[in-house]
This record gives sequence, C-alpha cells and structure tokens, in this order.
Amino acid sequence: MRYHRYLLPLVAAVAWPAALGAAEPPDPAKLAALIDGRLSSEWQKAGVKPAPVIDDAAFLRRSTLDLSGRIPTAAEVREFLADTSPDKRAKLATRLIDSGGHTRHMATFWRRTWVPQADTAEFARLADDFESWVAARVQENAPYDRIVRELLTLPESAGNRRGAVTPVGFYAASESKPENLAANATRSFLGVNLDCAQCHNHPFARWTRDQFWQTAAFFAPPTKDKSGKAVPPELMIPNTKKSLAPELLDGAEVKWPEALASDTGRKLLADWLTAKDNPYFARNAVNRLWAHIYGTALVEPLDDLSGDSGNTGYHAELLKELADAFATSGFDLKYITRALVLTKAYQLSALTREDAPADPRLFARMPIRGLTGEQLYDSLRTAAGLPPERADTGRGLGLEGRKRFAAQFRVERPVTAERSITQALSMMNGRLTTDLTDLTKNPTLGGVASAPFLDTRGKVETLFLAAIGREPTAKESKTMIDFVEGSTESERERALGDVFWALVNSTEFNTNH
Amino acid sequence: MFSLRVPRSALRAGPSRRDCLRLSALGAIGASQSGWLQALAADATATPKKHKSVILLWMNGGPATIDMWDLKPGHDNGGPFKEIDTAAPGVKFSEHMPNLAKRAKELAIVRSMATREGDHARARLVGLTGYTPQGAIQFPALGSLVAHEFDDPRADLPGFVSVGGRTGDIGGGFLGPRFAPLVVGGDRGFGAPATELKVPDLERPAGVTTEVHTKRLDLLSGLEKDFAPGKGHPVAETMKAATDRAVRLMRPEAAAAFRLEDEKAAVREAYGRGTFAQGCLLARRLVERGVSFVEVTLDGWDTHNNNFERVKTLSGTLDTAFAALLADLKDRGLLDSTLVVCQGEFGRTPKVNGQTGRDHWPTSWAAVLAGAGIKGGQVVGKTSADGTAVESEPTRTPDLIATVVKAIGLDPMKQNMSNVSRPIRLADPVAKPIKELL
Repeated sequence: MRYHRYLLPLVAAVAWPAALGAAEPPDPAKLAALIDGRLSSEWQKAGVKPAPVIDDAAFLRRSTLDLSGRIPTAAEVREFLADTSPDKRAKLATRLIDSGGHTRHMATFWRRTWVPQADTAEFARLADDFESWVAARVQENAPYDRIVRELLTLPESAGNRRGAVTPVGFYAASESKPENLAANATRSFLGVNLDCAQCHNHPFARWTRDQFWQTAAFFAPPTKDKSGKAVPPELMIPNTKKSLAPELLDGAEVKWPEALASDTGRKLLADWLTAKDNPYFARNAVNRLWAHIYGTALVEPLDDLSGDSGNTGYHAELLKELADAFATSGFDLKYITRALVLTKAYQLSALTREDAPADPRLFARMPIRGLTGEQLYDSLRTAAGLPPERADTGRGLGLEGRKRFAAQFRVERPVTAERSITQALSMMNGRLTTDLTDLTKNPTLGGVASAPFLDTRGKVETLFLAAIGREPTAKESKTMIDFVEGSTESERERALGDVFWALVNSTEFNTNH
Repeated sequence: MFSLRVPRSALRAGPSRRDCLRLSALGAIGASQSGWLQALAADATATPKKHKSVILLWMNGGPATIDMWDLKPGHDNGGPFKEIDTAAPGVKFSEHMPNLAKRAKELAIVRSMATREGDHARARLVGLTGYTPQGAIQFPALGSLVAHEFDDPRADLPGFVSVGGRTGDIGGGFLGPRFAPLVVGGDRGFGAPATELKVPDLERPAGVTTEVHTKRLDLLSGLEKDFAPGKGHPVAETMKAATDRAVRLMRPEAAAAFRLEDEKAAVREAYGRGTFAQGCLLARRLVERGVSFVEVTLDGWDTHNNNFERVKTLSGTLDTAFAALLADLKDRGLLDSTLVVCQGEFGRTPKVNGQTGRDHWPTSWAAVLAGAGIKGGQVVGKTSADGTAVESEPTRTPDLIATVVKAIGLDPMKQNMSNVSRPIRLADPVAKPIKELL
C-alpha cells in the first residue's frame, strides 16, 4: 500500500491535461493554471523574470477593453476599487464575458476575422447583418463548430429573405466564387493560407495549385452526367485544360452520398473542416482568441498555421493543448475565453520599465496595444458619460458616425497598431473631440463642472477616473488643479474641457495596456 | 548643390523666440517642464537638411505601357495609337503624350522591366518596397526607407507624404510608424470624385485660440512624459510620435506647404485641375520644403476593358501634369536634386482581349525616370516585335529600386535592422543599378 501512496499523485499529475476534458463542466481555472505552468517554464528556460502584476484599476481597464470593447465608467472604477473580495478579478471576468458588450465586441472580432472584406468600402454594406448574426450566436453561446457549420452550409435562399439575419455576408464578400470561398474559408477557419496557391504552387508552404482548386471545387454545384444524374462537380483551373474534383487538404476520402443536392459539396467540406480531429480547426480559433487577448498569437503568423511554426514553433505544443481542451469542451467559446483571462500571465504589466522581457513570444509582459476604431469610439463616449451607441444584437441603425470613425481609426492588428499624423490631427481637432470638450454635449464634463459637492481636486479626479480609469498621481493632480484654479472664473468650465481634451489625447487613453 | 529658393522664414523649424516669449508672458507656457512649443523653440535655428528627393508618380492598376512608352505600330498587338517623334532623336512615344515628348531629353525610358508578380496587391508591395514578401519581415515602402535615411527629427514636415490616396498597407514596416506616409487626399475609391488635397483637421476648431491650444498641449505633454518610457513599446511610440508631428504640422509655417491656393492661377492651370495634377504641384511644394519622398497616385489603369479610351484619357492627365512638374522643377532649380519616377505595378498584355482591354502583364513593361542627374533622352532595353518579351537589358524591380537609391546619393547596400533581427539592405542584394542611367 505504501507503494500506492507515492504512485497516485504521480499518476494524477501525468494524467492532468487529459483529465481536463473528462471534468464536467470544464473548469477554466484549471486550464488557466496549465497555461501559467507552461509559460513559467519557458521563462525559466529563457532566464527571464516576468513583469509585475498590475493593480486593480489597470486590470479593470484592460479586461473591460478586451472583453467588452470599451473602457470602464468612472462609477465602475470606483466600485471595483472599493470591492475587497479576494476573487474580484475572476468575478469581473465572468461578468464581462456574460455582458451584452462582450456579445457585440466579439461579433465585431469574428466578423473581422471571417469577413475582413467588410472593412473595405466595396463590401462595407455586409458588416451590419453579418455582425448581427454572429452576435445572436455569441449571445446564446452557440458552440463554435456549430456557428462555423451553419455559416458554411447556409441555405442558398437565406440571403434573399428581407430582414433575415443570416451569415450570407461570408458568401457575398467572396462574390460566391468557389476560388474566393476556398481561400477565405481555409484562412478564416483553419489558419491555412492557400491564397497564393491559386495561381501557382505556394512558394513558402506545401500547398499546391491542384489542392487550391480541389478545395474550391467543394463550393461548386454538382454537374449532370450523360444520363442526367447529378455527379460531384469538377472545376477547371483557369487558362489550363486541367479539371479537378473536390479533394480534402489532408487527403481523407470524400464520401459522396447517392443523391446530390446543390450544397452537398459545401456540407461535406464543413463536416471535415469542423470535425474534432481536424488538426487546424480548433487551433486556429484558439490562436486567434489568444491574439485577441494577449496581442501576439501563440503561433505566428496568424494566417498560416500550416507553416513551419505551426507544428514546431515556440508554443505549438501549448496551442495544441488549448485546442484539445476547446474541442473537448464542445467548442465552448466562453469557457476558453474565461480560461485565457484567468491566468496570471494576463495580469502582467505592460508598463514595466525593465527592458528584459520584451520578446513578445515569451508573454512575460503584456504588450501595449492600440485601441481598435470601435474601441476608441465607444471609449470616448464612455469617458464622456454617454451610453454606448449600439444595440447588442439588433441591426446597426443610426450608427453611421461610429462606422465612419471606426473606419478612420481602423487598425490591422492592435499589437502593431500605427497612428498616423492624420489620425492624431483628427483626435486633436476633429469634430468628435471638439464636441466632447463642450460641457453641453459631454455629460461627464457637464456634471463635474456643476457639481457643488466637488472641489477642484474632486473634479480633476473624476475626469481622470472617467477617461483613463485611475486616480491622478500627486504631481498630475497638482498640475491640473493649478491649471484650473489659475483660470479666471469665467474660464473655469472651459479649463475642465481642456483637461478632458488632454486626457483623451494621451497615449494612455488611446492604448490598451 | 541643392539650394532652397523659398525664404528662410518659411522654413523655420520652430516658432520664433519672440512668439515663445509672448506666449510665456501670457502664462501659456508658464512653469511647464516639457511643453511641446518650448521643445520646438529650442530648434528655431535649425536649418533643413540638404538632400535629394524623390517624387514617385504611381500609376495604380498597371498602366498599358505598350500604349504609352513602347508602341508596336503595325503589329496586331499594337492598338490604334500612333507614335510621335520626341525631342530626343530616335525616341518615340504615344501621340497622347505630346507635352512629355517635348521634354523627352529629360526622360529615360526603361522599356525592359521584367517582373514576376501579376497580382495587384503583391506586385504593388514588390514595386513599392523592392522586395518579394518573405514570411514575417515587414518591408518598409521605399518612401519610408528614403525618409529614414534623410531623417531630420526637427523638420516640420514628415519625410514621406503620399498624395491622392493609397492603400494603407505599405508603410513604415520595420522602420516603424514614424516613417509611414502622411496621406493627403483621402480615399482613392474607384470612380469616386476627386478628393480635395487637404490635410484633414489640420486647423484648430473654432474657438480654440493659440493660447488655449498651447495650454492644452502643455497639459498633454505632462501626461505623456511618464507613460511607457521603457524600451520596446512600439505602439506607444507611434502614438506619441504621431501627436508630436501633428502638433508641428499645425504650426502656420508648416501648414502653409499644403496651401495650393498660394500658387498663381497660371501655375495651377499648367498642371491641370484634377487631383493627380494638383497632387503633382503639391509634390513640388513639399520637395521644395525638404520632404524627401512624395508619392502621387493616379488610379484607374486596370484596363481589362475599353483599354484604349481609358488609356488615352489617363495619358492626357499624366502628360499635362508630369510635363508641368518637370518644367516647374527645372525653373526652380530643383530638377537636379529631385528624381521623378513614373511607374505602375506592372504592364498589360500586349494581346488585346475580347473586351478591347488588356490584362495583367508583368513580363515586359516600362518605367520612366527623370531628374537628379539621370541621363535623359534615352531608351534602355528593348522588347520583342510583339511586345511580349524583353530582348535586352532585362530589369527587375530591385534593379530599379537600386537605381533610384543610387541616384539620390544613397548606398543601395546599406543595411537596416529588420523586425526579425536580420539586417536588410535598402535594395535587394541581387539588384544591379541601371548603369546607362547613372
């Protein structure tokens, strides 16, 4: 028996990752611990000390931006800072992930991943309907594989019904062309970049032109043979005499049913693509979510998991473990998101002065990220005490201002966000900022200016909490108070507007850190 | 040697000391430790760096150079345009470029561009960076490379300006956002009306006086000082740098560069009235003020159908503006120090398609260079009688880039450290500068 006493813990430790899936329901905290374990062993190997853990105010701001797409309100900051419960960060993560803001924010995130074309003028009209559809799925926490399956196997008539909320935008953005759909579907759902193989064998990866067109052929309707019977389609490679039937990228056999419908090919591709044992499907989703939360993906480049780094890269193994947990959970998006933000790694400072842990692949400190156009717009409104201009699931009506702003401040990826001079000028002199320095249009400012119970110190503090989610330092407080009180009586209110102007133009406001 | 012919006062790199003292007396700067305007005032005596500049006329979409610079009269592929003689003996252009024909002694036509990328996005990337995409390396645009080499942190104007819209995907790359272009002229939608060539939001909002503006900047600089000061925060750096440059650009001396209305009406007319034409005029004004790289886009060359009508119109636009630009640069003594390059991402199929159009053709096409000591009045390279193949002096994109780099006095083999910690040369090491031109 003594023998067993030593053996048991060992068995438990070895079996731990596998046991993650067996537990019901899956525990995100356990998965978070696994992530922390893997990352800290990488830090040890590299001889790197992780950045310090951030304070509550910084955690609230970061997680609210990441999970709800906006900064916290002054009231939310005060409430969170006053909360003394030890698990308040975990509770906050849960509350944010269940919020309507999360639904809308993730709808934009997935739409941008799957239909990036809708960020261009040509296809911008597709964004609203598509995001509404994703939002509805996210809100009900539909399993990720079902969402993708539904998107790919959408009935052809779905797009024709007026007012129907459908993912038809995915097809529309590809102009329903098999070759465009093949490239978009493999990139979006598998992290496999086939694009270049359309015209020639891919120069950097292993995909061939034949494989590209074999994948595209799944999106073509069946053809009729001599006897009039529907048979699997073939696609001709343009400018060649070569005609190819649908084949799966991994060479698995395609089992065509006896009777073929117009969408049989799409359904067969969707079956293979969303299967639990597809090596790319779950990894791609987790890798993109990781990049959303941590700035850099576990395996880069995001669009090509089939490259060398996909299987052997820095964190290829961790990605696989996370993907397995995700698949085993029944592709539960909220579970995996919760796990990613419950880690210690998620709480590491971005603003550490030490230069050592700068290699982004180590995740030993959080990178400073630029706000997306949508985050910036919603955060400006939040800072001004205005309600977010959006419904959680409905169609975007009257949101033209938000859309225009988001397009102007669009960033390709937050972790490599660039700010142009043009954008900086817009933040300083543009219509939106100008409106927000006006007491009559900015409830925060109006309220602060007219609050009889607040002295100048209190007014300045409230503006700091509303805009950058923290209290001013002693030095900042003094500068701002001196400035406001140094103004003449008639200029006091305008001076508060100037403080607000400076706050929203600061790098601190414009970044997630 | 390059000499600037604008008054020194218009080129000051900061507000005058008197302005500063005045603002200070108003309490606008007060006891601040780090105000922007103070920092600018310290540079008030700085002179702009003297260097050569590049104006890239980017023919977006892939111009049918077979209908412009390398006609094939008498051949089935030749199309309906006639060839005309030019001021350079033996050099012939399309009849739709009469003004450039008169200036042909300044132009060098490279008729032997032979490249590989036939996809717009990839070919544009290769054309604008000189490199074929490779994994994770973020190649900077040539404009960013040049702006980086001639960088003057005290300059009011950014080193790289892109006029007439551009796809935002090729910027500072591994050199960082500081060297990304200032984009003037808004979107470049297909068929969209000409956008005004203004820097949006350059002016302060109504009611914001100089004094208020100064106070705001002072508060802001206090907030910026302690935020993310450590190394390796590229996103924070880009935010700060953009604000810094925006503040400087707002100063009247700098903003004046964009005031095309300051030009005489006759000068504006000479260039033509469209966005591209006025963009060329703006390019001259910017180069004059020390901007090292200006890109001006003329879109619409993707002529898969109705090629000849469209190329005729586009050639007319190009002809008037390009010729006026050369004349203007010459008159102002700037042509010796300014290289003008005219090219697209590739050419178009010599064979005319069923829609009277021409399709993408990287195999044989033409690029044109002038100024900065380039030997004009000559043609480099030769294509076959049907226009489908290069028969001599094949020139690839890296060769052209290396030629540009060398012409403005830089070493194409100079290295910069890239984002993947691998040094990358200004031009691909395989490049051979076109010796006939230099």
